Amino acid sequence: MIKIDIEKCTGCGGCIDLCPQIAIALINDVVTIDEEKCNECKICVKVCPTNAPYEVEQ
Amino acid sequence: MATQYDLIVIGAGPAGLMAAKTAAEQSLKVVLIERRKDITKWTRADCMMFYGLEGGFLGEDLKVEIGKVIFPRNGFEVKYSGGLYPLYHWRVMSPGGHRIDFSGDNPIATVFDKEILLRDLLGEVEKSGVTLFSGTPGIKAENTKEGAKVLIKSEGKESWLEAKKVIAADGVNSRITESVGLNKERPPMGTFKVVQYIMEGVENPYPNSWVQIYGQSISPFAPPHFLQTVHGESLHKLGAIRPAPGNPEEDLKTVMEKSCLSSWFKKAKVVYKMGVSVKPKMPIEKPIMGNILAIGDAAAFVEVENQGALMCGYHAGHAILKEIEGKDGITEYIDWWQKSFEFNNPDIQRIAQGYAINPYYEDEEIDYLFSLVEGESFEGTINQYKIPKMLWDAIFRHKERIQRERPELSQKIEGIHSMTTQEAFTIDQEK
Repeated sequence: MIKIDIEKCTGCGGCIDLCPQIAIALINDVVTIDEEKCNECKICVKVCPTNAPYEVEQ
Repeated sequence: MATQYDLIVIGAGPAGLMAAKTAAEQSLKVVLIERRKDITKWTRADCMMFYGLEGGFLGEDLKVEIGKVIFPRNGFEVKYSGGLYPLYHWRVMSPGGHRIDFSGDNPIATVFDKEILLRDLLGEVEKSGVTLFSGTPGIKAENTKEGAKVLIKSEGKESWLEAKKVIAADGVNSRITESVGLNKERPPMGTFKVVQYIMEGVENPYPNSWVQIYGQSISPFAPPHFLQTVHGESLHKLGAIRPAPGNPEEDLKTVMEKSCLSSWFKKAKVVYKMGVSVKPKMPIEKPIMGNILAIGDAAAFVEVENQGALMCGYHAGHAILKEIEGKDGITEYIDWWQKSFEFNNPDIQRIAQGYAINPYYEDEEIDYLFSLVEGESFEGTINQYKIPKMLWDAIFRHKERIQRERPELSQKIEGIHSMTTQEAFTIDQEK
C-alpha cells in the first residue's frame, strides 16, 4: 500500500497529475490516495519532488 | 438540449482565471472549475517574476506599476495590489566562481507575490459573475454534438458538465489535452522534479539579481537558481530541478554546503518548501479540438510564465466570445499563439543548448568557457529563451581561441550543439 507523508507533502499536485490510475486527488486540499484505484505502480513515489509517498507492508 | 453554460474553464491559475473573467465580462455564462479549495494558496514551485521588462518579450512591452500590470500591445491591464522587487541583473556563475552578468540600467524583471496576484484575479472573477466550483477537478473532456462536456468530481461524485465551449487551463500536465487527443504528436521528454526553498537568514551579496550556478558538481541536470523574494531581505528563494527519480533537494544542499556560494547560507534556515513535478512536451501547434481550446501551460513547452498565462486567458476569452457570436475567433487566437511564444519558433533548438551544459560538460570546462567571457558586458535580460543564445554567442566569439587551446572541447561543443531539443532533454533519466 502507498501512503503520503503529509509532513513532507507540499501539495503541489504533481502526483495527482501523473498518476496513471487517476487514483490521487485533493480532498479538502490534502493529497489523498484512493486505495481501491491504486495499483501500486509507484509512479507517485518516483515523481514526487519531496519524497512524500512511501510504501507500507499490508 | 440547451446547455446551461456558454463556457467551462478548467483550472484557476492565472490563465484560467483571466479567461473566465474576460469571457464573463463580455456577458457569457461561465463556470470555472478548480481542484483546489483554496485557490490563492501558493503551493506549487514556479516563477515569481514578471520579466522581459526591457521590452519585446512575448511580443509585449510589459509595464508593472503600483496596483496593476499593463499589457499595452495586447490592450489590457490586470489588477495587482501586492509588493514588487526589481531585478537589474541575471548573473550566471561557473562552479569555480567565474561570473557573467546580463545587466540593465532599468529593471529587466520584477519579483511579485503570486498569492496576491491570484487573490486579485479571483476577486475580479467573482465580480464578473463567473460560477466557481472549487474543490472540483476536471478529469476529462469530450466534444458533443452541440458543444463539449467535462467530467468533474465533486464531493466524491462524478458528473458531466456541459457547455458550448471548453477552455483547458489545467497546466503543464493537463489531463484535458491528453483526454481529447491533443498530445498525440507530443512525445514526453521525461519527468522533471523541482524543489524551491523559501529561506531566512541568507547573506546575499547580489541584491536585485537572479543568480544561477552551473556545474556538474552542483547539479547533474541544470543550474540551481537563487533570488530575493518580494518579502525583502529576510526571505530568499533557492530552487533546483532534476529528472525523476532524482532528488533536487540534494542540489540545494550542495549549493548551501559545498559550492562557491556556501558562505551566503551559513545562517540560513528553510522556512517553507514548494515542489512541482512536470512532464514537458513540445508545444501544441494548433491547441484546439472541436469546441475544446487548450491555453497557457496546457498547450505549451513547460511554461508560458505568469504574464504569458494572463495573455492567453485574455485572448482566449475574446476568441470564445467571437465563436459564440458565430464568428471565427479561434484562427485569430492560434495565429497570436504561434507568433507570441518563443517556444513556438523553430529556433527553440537554442533553448536546449542553454540547458545542455551541466549534463555534458565537466566543471573545469565550464570554468574555462565562462572565464573567456567574464567581465564582458551584455545586454540586460532575464529571458530564458534569449540568455542561452546570448551566452553561447559570446563564447563563440572566442571560437578560434578555444580551437587552438582546447581542440577536444571545441569538437565536443559542436557535437552537443547539433542535438535537437528532444535529444537534449532526454538525458540519462536515472542519473
